[in-house]
Amino acid sequence: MTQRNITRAGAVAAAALLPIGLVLAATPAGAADDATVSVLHGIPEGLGADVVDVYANGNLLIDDFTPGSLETATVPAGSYDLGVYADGTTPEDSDPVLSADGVEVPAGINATVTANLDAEGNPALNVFVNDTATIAAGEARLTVRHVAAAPAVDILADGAVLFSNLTNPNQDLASVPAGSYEAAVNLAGTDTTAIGPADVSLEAGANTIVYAWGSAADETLALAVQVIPGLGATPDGVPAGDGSTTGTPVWALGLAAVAALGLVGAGARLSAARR
Amino acid sequence: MTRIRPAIWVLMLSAIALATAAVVIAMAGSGSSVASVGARPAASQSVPTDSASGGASASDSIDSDQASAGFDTRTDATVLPVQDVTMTPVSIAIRSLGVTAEVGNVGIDGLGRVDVPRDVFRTGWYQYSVRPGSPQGSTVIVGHKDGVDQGAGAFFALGEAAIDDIVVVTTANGTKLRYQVVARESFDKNTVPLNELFAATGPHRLTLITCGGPFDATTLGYTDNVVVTAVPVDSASGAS
Repeated sequence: MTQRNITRAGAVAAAALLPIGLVLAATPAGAADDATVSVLHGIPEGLGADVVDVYANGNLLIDDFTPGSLETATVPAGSYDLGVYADGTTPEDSDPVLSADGVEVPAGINATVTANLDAEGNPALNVFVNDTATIAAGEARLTVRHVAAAPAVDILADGAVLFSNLTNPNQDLASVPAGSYEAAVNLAGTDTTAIGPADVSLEAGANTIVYAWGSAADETLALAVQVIPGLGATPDGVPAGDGSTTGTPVWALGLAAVAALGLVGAGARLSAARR
Repeated sequence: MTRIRPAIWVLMLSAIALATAAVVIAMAGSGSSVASVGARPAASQSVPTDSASGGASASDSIDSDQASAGFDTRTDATVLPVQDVTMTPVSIAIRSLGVTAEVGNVGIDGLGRVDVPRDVFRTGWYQYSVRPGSPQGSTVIVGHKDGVDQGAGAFFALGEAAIDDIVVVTTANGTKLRYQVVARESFDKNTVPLNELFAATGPHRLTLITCGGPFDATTLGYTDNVVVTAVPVDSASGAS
């Protein structure tokens, strides 16, 4: 697996990259024309991207971005040319080391752009849409994204395979009961653990997005996590009282029942006697 | 002299008995609603300063300091979130109301509602709401007002909570968090604003929920939810 320094690979990446089609799956919330875009720096140290600046349509988006970091911005909907620049350089004086032009960002979308290594170890930019649909009460959403220079992997939760044969640059997601899990990333179809195991808490009502990033060959594989909270469904009610001190005493109900029978019985006898 | 027939005696006694029972039933069913006072903090979606969950994060919550862009960005932690069970609530006390009770963890019952503890002397922290001491969101603790075979419950007096009453929540590691009541409200169960009361966003607050109002004999439950909202003491005093 060859790895090329990012400064030489930049031109190739710019030409070859196509953003994953953004489908407006999320219900727009907040300002009508805005979207939420996060950026993950998933290129390990030593490849020429240790400190970079990220520009969007020529404007500085992220300053002094370092490996393993996540930044989130609210941006107007629209089309964006994204450029990753070596620290200290700008669009005015330099070419980007990594770029993607024409990334469509629809209003209301929640998306993450990753700067990461592809399966062969070359720097790349990828775009993922984050699922912000309502999550059933008591459940958590787990999203796993393979953005590492590594072969296909299986994702395990508490020792059981949850997602199998996940490859770069793909994702898988599922709704699971909220709680703590022991997570592990194994080489697909094997018991060989590439990352972990590690304890991770999946919060109810949140989309917990786990990125496997880094390089297997350089032994820099790691997990980065992005949490999108506030998606949980509300319970249907709080049934907090079945009453006793203000409820109807049983004896009153009993008395009413006996009295009613008495009225009916007596009334029937009287009316029968008249004939 | 005409002897009054037995049937007429039965008729008269039955009528008296029925009237007596009716009065008792009518009086028993006429619990009064709790008046609403105060104001809850808005539960509107706020841009979180820290999106990492759990207590093990080491995130910055400052915005990136690039003035030129016009982009409002924030730095988020990327560490694996872990549950901070040290802040799980274990007991609650409201001295002014004589409320003192253990707090257990509760989830959802078979009908999609909060699974209120059957023991009316215990309260339950809705375990899918934020823990006490969280940076934002509502910590929800529920309790029965009373039980048909148990009498008055731990939250029986909640309907008499007053603005500025102090609520102390103790967590698993012994931390005592003080909250100050800012609202006491009563809602018909059909119109209670559940989304706001259970929101994971907005200023951090404590939301105590029980039942109240008239007892509905057809449903064998109270018609209302009584909700007491309290905010951390520091934020309450800072606002004044």
